[in-house]
Amino acid sequence: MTTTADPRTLAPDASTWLTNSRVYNLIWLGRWIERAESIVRAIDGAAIAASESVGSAGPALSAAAEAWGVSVPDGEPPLPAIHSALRLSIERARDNAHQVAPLQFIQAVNALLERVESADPADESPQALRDFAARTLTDVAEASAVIERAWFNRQGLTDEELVQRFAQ
Amino acid sequence: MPAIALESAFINECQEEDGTPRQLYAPLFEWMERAGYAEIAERTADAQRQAAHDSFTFLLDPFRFRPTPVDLLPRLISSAEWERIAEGVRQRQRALNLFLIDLYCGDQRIVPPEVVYTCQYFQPEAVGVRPRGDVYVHFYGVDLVRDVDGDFVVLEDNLRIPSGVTYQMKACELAASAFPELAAAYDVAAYDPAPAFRDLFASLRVNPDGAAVILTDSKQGAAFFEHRYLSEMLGVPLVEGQDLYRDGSGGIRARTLDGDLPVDVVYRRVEDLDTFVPGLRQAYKEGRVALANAMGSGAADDKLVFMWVPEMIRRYLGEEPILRQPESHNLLDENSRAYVLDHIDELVVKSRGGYGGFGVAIGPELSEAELAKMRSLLTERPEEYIGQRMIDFSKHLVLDRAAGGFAERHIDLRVFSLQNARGEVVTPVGGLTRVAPSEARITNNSAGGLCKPTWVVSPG
Repeated sequence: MTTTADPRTLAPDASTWLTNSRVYNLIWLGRWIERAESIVRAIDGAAIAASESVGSAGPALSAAAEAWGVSVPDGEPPLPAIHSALRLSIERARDNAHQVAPLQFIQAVNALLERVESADPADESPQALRDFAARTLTDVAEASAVIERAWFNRQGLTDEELVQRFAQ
Repeated sequence: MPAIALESAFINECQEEDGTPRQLYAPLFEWMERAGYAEIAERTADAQRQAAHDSFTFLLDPFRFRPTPVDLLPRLISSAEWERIAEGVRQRQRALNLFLIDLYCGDQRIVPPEVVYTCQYFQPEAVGVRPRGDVYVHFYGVDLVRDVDGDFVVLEDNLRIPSGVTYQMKACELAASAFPELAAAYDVAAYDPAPAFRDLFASLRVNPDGAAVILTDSKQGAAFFEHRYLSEMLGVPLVEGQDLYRDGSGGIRARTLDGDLPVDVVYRRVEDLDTFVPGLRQAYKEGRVALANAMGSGAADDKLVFMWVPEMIRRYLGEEPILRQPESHNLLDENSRAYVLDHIDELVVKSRGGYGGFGVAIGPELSEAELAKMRSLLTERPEEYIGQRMIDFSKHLVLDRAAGGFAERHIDLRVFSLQNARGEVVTPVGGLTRVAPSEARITNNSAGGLCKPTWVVSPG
């Protein structure tokens, strides 16, 4: 595949310029959303492990917290700290989204944040954790789809053109 | 009827002195009676949740997220009254622009030199630099209040970076969606400044390959919501300082993933141009880029220069001012200073370069110790302040959720107006109503004020 296409032939109109600051914020937006998604998947994994062993999700959540660098105070249950890390990741994503994203995406991130803030961080029952993870992952997917449409498909580029544009 | 007991001395824009609704407000009161406080409060709360979802913020920064507080009961202005306001605003904008041309490129003799050359925002390097189309003031915001006679009077002119145009749009959008049956009861003029903005940018362009951009101080800026909203609404890129640079030929370019693209018009939402984009001032002075507003416009934003605006209107336009303004006192003049020091407990004292509601002292609200301190400040640094007659301005009904009912609060009106490079002035119908906190007169958002939708309505 050639990556020597004249970038101007693929350049969007001015309203969708990918400026330095937008690219910077898009990258960090992606990283924070990715971290949020990973934490939710870790919660889901811990819930599955707990339901299969008919035990508490606590040990699996502790392992997940350690894996994702979430600091859990000694003697405290891990779930509140994991929730807090998840909320912080989404707040950081929202900061970046404010700088680059269309309104629809900002709304999607705010909806995601609202779901996380309204969840009960004390409920460690496997079913509650699985429900929370499933709904949150749906929200993440919706938010990601908006940004995908807004920034990567807006000009109707083919996959090859997209690669060319970003490989310059 | 949800009328409330009226406080004396202030006009309530919704009600007559006996508490009955004013004619324009009768349908609103009927609707309030039908809907009831609980329903209105619930719908307002829903709308505020929506505002938070839309990140409708003021004072957004990385460490604080604060949805803009909004009171959705609309403030009503009749279309006939609006016409007079708009005509007065356009008159003022034209006169201020002519003053700036005279100041930087002519022989300005209206404002005394000791006043104009001590303006914080007077820019000597703009002297002799003619902006495209001889227009300095592309985007103008003027703060008005309704006095005890019921007339709108001008409190201050904003020519540097006036903000709030999108707050009015958003407040109207939220009110129309929260109270659709109320919106249907009135013939409300749409608030749509977008065509005037597009025309402004198009009129300023001289390089067909160059784009217009909005230069933001990024999300650290208090009004970042507005920068983002305007960018999305107008399809104009939102850029930060790091995105722009001055190229070898002296023009301004934007760094993008698709190459470095030429920029011809910068709608700047920042004050210190060269701090954000080194070389931008020089590019402007060489005519390589247009700035909206033009460099040096802030000289006419000064609260002491404000004193001479009526004279500017008479001298430059040969007209009488349509909008009145309060009597002001130049503290550089010995007699005026003596008067202000004697009557400081009755006057408002403002810092000449202050903005956002900061630097304003309201005499009757100051303690003896504060008055003494203010007197000493004015004696030591008279060139930094102005004294102004205090205006008892109007109040409006707001939803007071803490008290579980309706209350009265002071309000003002910020009207926005645009002048394109052909010199044509357009004033979008409507403006942002700002509401002061309880027991206060300062309405700015940064001082804890609320936004309120303004509906310009035709008689049914």
